[in-house]
Amino acid sequence: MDISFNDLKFIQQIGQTLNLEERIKLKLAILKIQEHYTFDEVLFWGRVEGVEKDYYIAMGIQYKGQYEFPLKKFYWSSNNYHFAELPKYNEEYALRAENLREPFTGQHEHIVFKTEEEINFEDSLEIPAQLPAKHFSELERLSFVVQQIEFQCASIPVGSYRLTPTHELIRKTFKGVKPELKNYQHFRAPIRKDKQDLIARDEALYKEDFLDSLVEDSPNQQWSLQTDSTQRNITLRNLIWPGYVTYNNDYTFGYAYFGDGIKNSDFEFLL
Amino acid sequence: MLKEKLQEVKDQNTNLYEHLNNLLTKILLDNPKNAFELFEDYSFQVKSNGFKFEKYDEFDNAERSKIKMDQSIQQKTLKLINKINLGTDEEPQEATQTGYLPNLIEESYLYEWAGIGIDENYKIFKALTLLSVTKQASKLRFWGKIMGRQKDYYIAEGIATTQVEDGELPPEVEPRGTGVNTKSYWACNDLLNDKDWIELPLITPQQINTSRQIKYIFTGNLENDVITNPYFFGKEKHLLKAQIVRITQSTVIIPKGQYILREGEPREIDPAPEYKLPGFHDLKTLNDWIHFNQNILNCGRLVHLIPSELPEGIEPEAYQKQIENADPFENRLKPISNDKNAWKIRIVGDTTDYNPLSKDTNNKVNNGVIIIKSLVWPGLVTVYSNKVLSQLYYGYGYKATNNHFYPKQPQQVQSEQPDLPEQPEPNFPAEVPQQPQD
Repeated sequence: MDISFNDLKFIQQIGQTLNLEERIKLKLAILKIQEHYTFDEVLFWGRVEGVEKDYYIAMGIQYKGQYEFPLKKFYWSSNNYHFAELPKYNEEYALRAENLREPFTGQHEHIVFKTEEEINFEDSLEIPAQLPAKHFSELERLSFVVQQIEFQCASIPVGSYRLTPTHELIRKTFKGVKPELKNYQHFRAPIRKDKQDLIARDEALYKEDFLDSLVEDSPNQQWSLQTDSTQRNITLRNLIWPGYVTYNNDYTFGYAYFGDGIKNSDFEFLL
Repeated sequence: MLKEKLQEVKDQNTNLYEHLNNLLTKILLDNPKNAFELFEDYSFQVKSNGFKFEKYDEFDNAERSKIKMDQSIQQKTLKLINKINLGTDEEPQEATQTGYLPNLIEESYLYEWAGIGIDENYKIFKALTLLSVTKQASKLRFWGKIMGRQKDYYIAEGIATTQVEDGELPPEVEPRGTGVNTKSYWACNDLLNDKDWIELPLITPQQINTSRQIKYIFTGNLENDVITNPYFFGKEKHLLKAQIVRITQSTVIIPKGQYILREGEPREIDPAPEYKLPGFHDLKTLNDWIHFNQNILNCGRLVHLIPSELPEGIEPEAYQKQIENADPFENRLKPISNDKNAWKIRIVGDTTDYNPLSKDTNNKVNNGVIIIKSLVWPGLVTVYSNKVLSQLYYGYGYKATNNHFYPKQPQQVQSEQPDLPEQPEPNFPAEVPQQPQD
């Protein structure tokens, strides 16, 4: 979502918004990210609510010079509005974190799982030194959840970007799409064979829907496409990660996540 | 000369000269800021859409139908926003009176501080006013919004004063106006259609108990069947009402001290005499808030059912004591700090104490906003600021569960008993009538 926050009215359809203090402080903090690392765009990705404090996530995108798909870098901050890069997470424990249903506490050092690894090393005197075990902290859980949501949900309307002959993505003039699920595609490097072939054959340069389509996501009922009463402001919500919204109207599009960071892993049973 | 040269390079329908004409016209009309970067993009679009320079002022059909749709929506919106007119355009009939309805616009400002955005709050407010007039509902308020798979529900809570015939109700169902069916709820999918507000039906204790065992995301269509195990006997509107009642009964909270227990009847409450809403500093912790409503009992009602015909030998009072011990009441007005991990409280906004205008500097003014969100029913939020207390639900209508939800397995279908082996029919010789013995 753009940091002018003009698009908050779409997020209001699921009942979320940012208050005045959050908007002002986030805008300043996000502009600060640009000082250290120049991205083509720095966007506000979303807010993950915790019991005591919340986390705010920003995303920097670099289009130029990236072959096939732009580079995305994530930054997090707590209620102090000071953004730092989101660290890598420990892969083994991360999978266990996917189905956790406890809410985030808001304390990023809070330990989610205690790991059993201890790092031993022997120095020259042959006395084994042990480093304290690095437990799986809430910050890693946050990092994992953000990457999962971005991979599984992040989507854009068809016709919003196109592939240049040098395989870079650039934004097009966006004219709006009809509210149908086939008009949306994932905002990630395509993993499905048919789209990869399309790009390899360079046919993607002339097509609008060259990224993975949402229609092929399974289960298909996880996407809920609705408009407001003017029928112009369309929101596409995800039900497995409730709080994720892709929105567009005739002039603008974007996406954001405003939720508690808990996955509805039992989604198939809720239908 | 140049023109002829360009006209040589051609395709079936058009040539390079015309294409350049069309392309430049489109760019001049659209006037984008980064025309240089989008030049190839435009060229491709013009080729695929067949944009023609001569027809630049004609809309294509898609645009025209969009405009028609817009017009009808704008007309409906206008009707909603204008003064309520119960008659027709020629004979306007004003609305006589409306019941109490809190000002949603002012409350939206508070909810924005809590991070809850009420979309289209003015349209909701006007739609509720219209509902209040047409159904003569008193004490109406916007209860919240329940998101669904295909459509969302806007829910209004109130007390309907028009008489409604319910017909014969089974004895365990609490009749309209009592117990779980005290308040009426209306649900609406489309705010612009004033006929869309539908009152949700009365619910039975079995429906409440079944709803406690299932977890369901609503579709948005009130008449859908709810296919679950254990089977929910009712349509989506019954489940919706059951969830709304469960949420309301367990999450309405008020500041401590506003109500007191009635002497002699500890299950009833009265407003405390000479009570003033406390200031900001007295409500900052969870200890200062208490539950307002009674909990729903395990049997699915608010009060136990005493059957009119008791078995012989049992006194009514003893019987009442027996069932109350089995399914006890919870204390009324219990503080919410006793609920483990169920609430989170935040303070946002400007929390400086300002001196009021009058000379009395004891009652300082504080514009801070106290937000209490429920962790058990995610989406339920209570806000308090400057003597305004309000509550709203914006969610999917199910409880937060700690474990993965697995529906109960359906019972085993017993296999049929194998048929008994066939026995040959007893084959007695045919009876010969005995000769009478001499």
